[in-house]
Order: sequence, then structure tokens, then C-alpha cells
Amino acid sequence: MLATATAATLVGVDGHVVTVEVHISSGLPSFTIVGLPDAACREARDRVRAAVLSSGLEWPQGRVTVNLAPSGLRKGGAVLDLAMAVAFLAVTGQLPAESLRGRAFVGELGLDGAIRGVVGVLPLVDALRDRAVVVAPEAYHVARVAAPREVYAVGSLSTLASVLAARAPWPDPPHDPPAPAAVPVPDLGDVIGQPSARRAVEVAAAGGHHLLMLGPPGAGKTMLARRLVGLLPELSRECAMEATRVQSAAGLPLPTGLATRPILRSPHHTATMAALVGGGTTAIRPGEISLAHRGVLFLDELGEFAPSVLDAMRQPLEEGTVQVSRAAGACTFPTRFLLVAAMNPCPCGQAGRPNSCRCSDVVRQRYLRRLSGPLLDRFDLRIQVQPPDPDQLLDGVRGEPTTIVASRVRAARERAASRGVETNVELSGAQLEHHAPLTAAAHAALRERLRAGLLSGRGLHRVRCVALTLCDLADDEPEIDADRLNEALTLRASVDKLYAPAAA
Amino acid sequence: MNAGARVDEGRAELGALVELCSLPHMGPARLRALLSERDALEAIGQLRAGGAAVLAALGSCRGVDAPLVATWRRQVASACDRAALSGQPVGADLLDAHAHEDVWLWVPKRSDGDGLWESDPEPPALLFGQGAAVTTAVRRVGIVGTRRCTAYGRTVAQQLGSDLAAAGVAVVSGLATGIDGIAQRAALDAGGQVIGVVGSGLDQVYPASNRTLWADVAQHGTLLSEYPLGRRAAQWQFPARNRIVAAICEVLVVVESGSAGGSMYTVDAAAERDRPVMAVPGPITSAASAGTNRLLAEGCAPVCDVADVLAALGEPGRADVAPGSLGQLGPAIAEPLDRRVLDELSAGPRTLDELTLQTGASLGELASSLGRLQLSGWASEIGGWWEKSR
Repeated sequence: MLATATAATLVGVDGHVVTVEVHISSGLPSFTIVGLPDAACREARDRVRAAVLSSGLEWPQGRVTVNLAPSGLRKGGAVLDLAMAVAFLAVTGQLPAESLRGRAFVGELGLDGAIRGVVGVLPLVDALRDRAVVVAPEAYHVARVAAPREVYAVGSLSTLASVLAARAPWPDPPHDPPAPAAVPVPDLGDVIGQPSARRAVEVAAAGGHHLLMLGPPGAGKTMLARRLVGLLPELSRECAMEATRVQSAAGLPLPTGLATRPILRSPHHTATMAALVGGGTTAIRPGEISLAHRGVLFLDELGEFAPSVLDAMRQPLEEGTVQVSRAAGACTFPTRFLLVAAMNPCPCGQAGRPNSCRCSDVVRQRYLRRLSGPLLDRFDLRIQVQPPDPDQLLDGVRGEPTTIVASRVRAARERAASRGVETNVELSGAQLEHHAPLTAAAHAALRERLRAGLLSGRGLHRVRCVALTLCDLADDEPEIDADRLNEALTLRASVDKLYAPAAA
Repeated sequence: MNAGARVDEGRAELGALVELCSLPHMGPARLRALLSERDALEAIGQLRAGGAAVLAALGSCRGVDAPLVATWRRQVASACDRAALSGQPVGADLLDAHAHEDVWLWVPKRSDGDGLWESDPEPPALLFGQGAAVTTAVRRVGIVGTRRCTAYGRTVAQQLGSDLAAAGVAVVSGLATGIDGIAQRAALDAGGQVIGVVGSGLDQVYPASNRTLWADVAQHGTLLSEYPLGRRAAQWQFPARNRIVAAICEVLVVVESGSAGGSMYTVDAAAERDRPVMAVPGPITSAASAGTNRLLAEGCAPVCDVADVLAALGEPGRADVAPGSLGQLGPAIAEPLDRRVLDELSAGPRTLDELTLQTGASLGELASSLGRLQLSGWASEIGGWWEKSR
């Protein structure tokens, strides 16, 4: 006797449809799961049996074999519990077999028969879109984001059994989650003074330029980074879906279902390569660079991260995806994020300020050498954050608030969108030439810089991108004059100058 | 002048001297005390014989004790054994190693006749050199100063270095970061002669950021050290190095120095050797000029132009050769904003944020203004701090 139920399992950030086949025959009582289950998945047999019995249903004696097809795909976690239980009920005649047809079951079972949510609901349900999907009540809102044919939230196996046996109607869906109690988003108005740092944060948000902040401890680097997220516009549905998929697959809380606000991830500097880029031993999990997809990845104390970990980010930064390969398989994760990094200029934090750094040249240079040149090159905005002016700090006059700056950012992004890109960083050299011509004065200034060796050819392109973002923010004609260009050059300060202050 | 000494010095004596130099914790003072009553070969013999005589001779040197002498004795004994096996004099392997790296040896003598060491209270027992030999046929000016110089000091050191080079005067300095290295780099770039005296073995570049400068000096000028190849930089070796800078130069110019900087060792050493000391005046508010201003107050001659230095050298005529721009007005400033920015910078280093708040200009205007000032040499930036550099 055989019954099948449909479910899905998570590989990376993608759901894969799994057919759960349950066979029962006479013989010594046993319960075997085949088809590459991992340890958690194999433990399902104890959960399923207990859940069935606690739900007032029967567990007839017999030899039960569960096959998870396709059998070559490694299945992890408890996500298949519910499908195994309903297929078992069908094969033992406690449910009509046709009640499982066209439906999919995604959930973990408790010993009391409760249906629980699982990690990765969004990609799982997304893979099962052409079916009616049964999920746990807490997973309902996320599941609905994937827009499957139908979603039912059922709280327990006994309820589900009565519904499938047509003895009861589907339970009412849970209420919409309360509108998120206005999470206190830190406001840019808290930042007092510091005009150049505020400017850099605004430009980073508008143009998608990666930002590196150097400054002494207590200058407000972390404060600025946390306020940058508030400047970013709402995500489009498509982007929000991409971001939510990753966040769901990683088990991050998604109280509102779709994550429409860009996320801020700030891993500690002890993060390992696998934590940052993705990886893992049993299942390949997305790393911080993927969790920050369509949001902001904030690396505080950049100089304290392991250099090899930082360098591993270079390729994903450039390509927007990362392929994590392990012996068990390979996964591709999206990695489009805004990189914001902060560090002290040297271990004592005072480098640059004339005659105040206590570090020796060797120590200072060793601190810098942790950042490779190619990584530094990815930062279009490299600014010195200096402590705010004491007078202004005590005056209590607040800076420009987030709402005003965010509206400028939104307008600038709309201008960028009219050029066919999301942000200005994506513009190619030819597109820049077409969209943002240089004035004669800007040309002359650039030539002087290039001649004096103050700017590389590679730097030139990035500086023009930033200058174009400055135009967009000012809502000006995209023609780059000398002031814009010089401002862009200032925002992309050369970092190495800091570290060999008096080198001959 | 050292060519004669190089060739005539017996190979055995020279080998013994290098062997003594290479002993751990052997510095100029200990070497001088050791060789005051015996020559190097005798010292080697005494060390091998047990070192009691050596310990007695160095008894007055701080830090020399029986265990250290025992270490020396072991090292000398093994060197003697190596020498006996190869049939070469003691230290011959070290001589070969130095020759292989194109390092020549110079045994300065008070009686050399060039006047360099005549009245020197602490002449080095042995100098290691790379590049051209030091000759008194070229006039020599020492330029020293703090490692943590300001933009002003940087400009002055650069200008003096290149002006002296143009006047055909060699620049003697310590190859350190800051004023020393900047002056020597400028002199090299202007095609002048340079003599760099370092405080570590000639193969131990310190500071590492000066690696290129170090190689250029060895190639186009003279690199000198009191220490054998392989000797790492150590703090106590730098003040000792400064006395050689003072001995080799004819006039010493201090560009910028705090009141207790290493340059003050050089000044003291120059005074002991009757070398005139000159100082570049700086703002009395600048900590980096505290030492030089103090020197001026004590009666040192001020340096306002390369002509002052050349006059002190007794070669005022050469000043025509180098119409330096020091002391002259910089390029004219047309923009009112540039003038306002410079006024702000006159009071000391400023950050971009401070300048924005004080001038009220937008970041773009300010960036343009600072760019102009930087290109015309009026201002310079280090790590987010802008300074007036003229």
C-alpha cells in the first residue's frame, strides 16, 4: 500500500520539490526513512509517530518505509514531518488519498501534534507555487508573499486530519500582523555638525557607492552607518522578494512577511570566512554578504577582520553573486549590498592629526596592510570622520533629519533609474561619457590630477560616477563642473596618504 | 681619502676588526674602549685567552659583565676555529660576505689629514659603506629634523635639499622618516650628492617605508653605517649614528625639531666637533619648531634661504646657482575663498569639516579651493588634516 504527499526542502536559498512516499506492509513493526535524509530529517520518525498518536489517530502495526524523492537530493531539517504524517494517514486509510492531491505540506511536527513553522518558508512555498500549501500559522504571512495558489494555516495535525477528511472547514487564516510598532529608526538629525561625513552618507545612499569611514574612536562612525539604512528608499517588490528569500532561508525573523525596508547587517569582526561569504558543514547557508542583499553590510572595525575574510568579499562585491562550493554541492547566493566600513586610522586612533598619534610608523603601516589595495579600491567614498565641533555639540542644534535627506536620495535614484540603471555605480564608462559630460574646467582639473599622479585611470571612472551622483542629489543637469568633480575627489580621499605621513 | 686606508690596512687586522664589530651588543663606545690600548688582533687574542683582560678594559662600560664577555669569547673561539680550518685569518669570511654585497670598509683615523676626525672625541672604529666614497672635495651640509614634521617643515626640507643639490653641495642626513628622508629625496631628485648615515646594518632597511630611498642613496650617493651587515635597527644605535652625521657635515641645518628630539643629539655632537649649527625658524605656536626656535634664541644662525647656508659654508658665490624659491612669495591667490581658507590654515591644521563651518562654503567650493591651493603648493593634506605648507 502506498501514498504520496508533496513537500519541499531547502538547498541554499532555493526550495526543491520533494515527493514523500509512504509504504506500509506486513512484517515486523519498523519505520525507515530512505532518500538521503540528514540526522534531523531521520529523527522525523519519532516525531511523526508521537504526533500521530497524540492527535488521537492510529498507528497500525506494520513495516513503514518512507522514501524521499528525488533520492539523490540531500534533505535536511524537520520540514518534511508534516508531509510524512499526512501520507502515513493516507496510506493507513485514515485520510482519503485524493485529499493530498494538488496540495503541499510544509511544517515541523511537535510531539503533541502541533504544526510548527520552519526555516526558509518563502523559498519553500515559492517552489510549491502551483499547489495549495498548508503551513503553520506563524509561517502564514511569509508564505503568502510567495503568492501560491492557496495558503492554509493549520495549527495541529488533528485539525488538519479533520479538514482533509472533510469533517471540518479550513480554519480561518491568522490575523494580519499588527503594523510594526514604528521601530525607532535612528534619525540622521542626531548627527550634529560633521558636514563632510553627512554628505558622504547621503551620496552613498543615493549612488550605491561603497563607503569607508576612518576616524578616531568616538567620532560617530557607527552612528552614521546606522543612519544610512534609513536614507535608502523602500525596496521594489522584486528586490524585496530577493532579499526576503535569503532572510527567510537564513531563518531571520520576518514579522511583516515581505521585507520592504533594506536590512542592516553588522557582523562582528571575529566573523569567519563561512559566516561572511556563506558555507557550513551540513547545509550550505548564506553568509552575511548575502543576508545583506539589497541592504547595507556594515563592517565596524574593518582593520580587525581577518584579511583573508575581507579579500573573499572582493569577487562577490563585483559580481553581485557568490557561488559557494563544497564537496556536498554548490549554491549560488545573491550579494548586492552597500558596503559600509569603519575603522580607526591606526591602533591608537589618532593618526593624521598632526603630532598626536602615539603609534610607530611600523605599527601604523601594519594596521593598513590588513586591507588589500584591491579591497580599498572598491570604496568610492573614503572619508575622514572627525569628532564634531564642541560648540555645535553643546548648542543642541540638530542636523538635517532623515526624512528630508531621504527624499533627496529618492529623487536622485529616480534620475539614475532614467538612465536604465538602479544606481550610478552600475554605469559603464561609455554610459558615463554619454550621460555625464565634463565641462572644460573639470577636464582641466582632471588632467592636472592625472598628470600629478594623484589619480589613477581606475579612480577616474569612480570619481565621475560619484560626481554624477552629486549632480543627481542637487537635481542639476548632469554636467560635471569643477566643483562637483573636486567634491567627488575629496570624498574619495586617498587612504594611503594617511599611513605614510612623512615618508620621503 | 679612505681608499688608502682600505687597501693598506692589513687583511688580518681588518678581519679581526669586523669580527669584533659583529659581536652581539658591541657598540661604538665599547669598541673604542676596547681598542684604546690594543689593536683588533690583540683584542681577539685576549678574548680567546679567556677575556679577563677585556673585561678589565671594559669595566667602565655600563652593561659589560662576565656573561657577555663569555658570549663574546665563545663567538671569537668559533670564528678562530673556522679560520684555522680554512687557513684564512680571523674574520675573513665576514670580509668576503661584505665584499660580496659591495660593501667597502673604512677605518677612520684622526691622522687621516682630511680634518673629518681630527678633533673628534668619539671617532668610529670602523665604518661600512656602499656607493661612492666620502670625499672632502665636495662641500657637505647636514640637514636633520623631526620624523613627525609638519607640511611647513616638509616644504622647507624639500626646497633646501634641492637648492643645495643645485649648488653642488652634498646633503648629509640620517635617512629617517620625516625631514631627513625628505631632504635627501629632494637632493637626489635634483641630481645632487647625498650621504646617508644609517643606524642599522646596510642590508637592514629601517624604516621600511624608505626602502626605495635607501636603494637610491646606495646607488647614486653614499650609504654609511657603523654596523656590519645583518645588524638590526635598535633604539640606542640612532643617537650614536647622529654623531657621525655631525662629524661628516661641515654645517648642520635643523629644519624642524621638538625641544627633546633626536635632532638635538646631532646638534650637541656638531657643537662638540665645532661644526656650525643653523636652524630654520618656525611658528612659535608649533610644537614641531620648539627645538629650532630654542636654538635660534640661544644664538644659532637662522636659515631663511639656501644662501644663508652657503654663506655659512663660506661659499656665498654658489647662491647664484640656486635661485631657490624659499623665502620668496608663492603663486598669487586670486580667489577670495582661497584667501579665507589660507587665513584659517595659518592658525594651524584644520579638518575639512572645520573649514566648511568656518568659511561657510559648500563642500564642492571648498574642495575646489583646496585643490587649487594644493596644486599651487600653498596647502597640503595628511589624513584629513589640511596644513599651510608655505
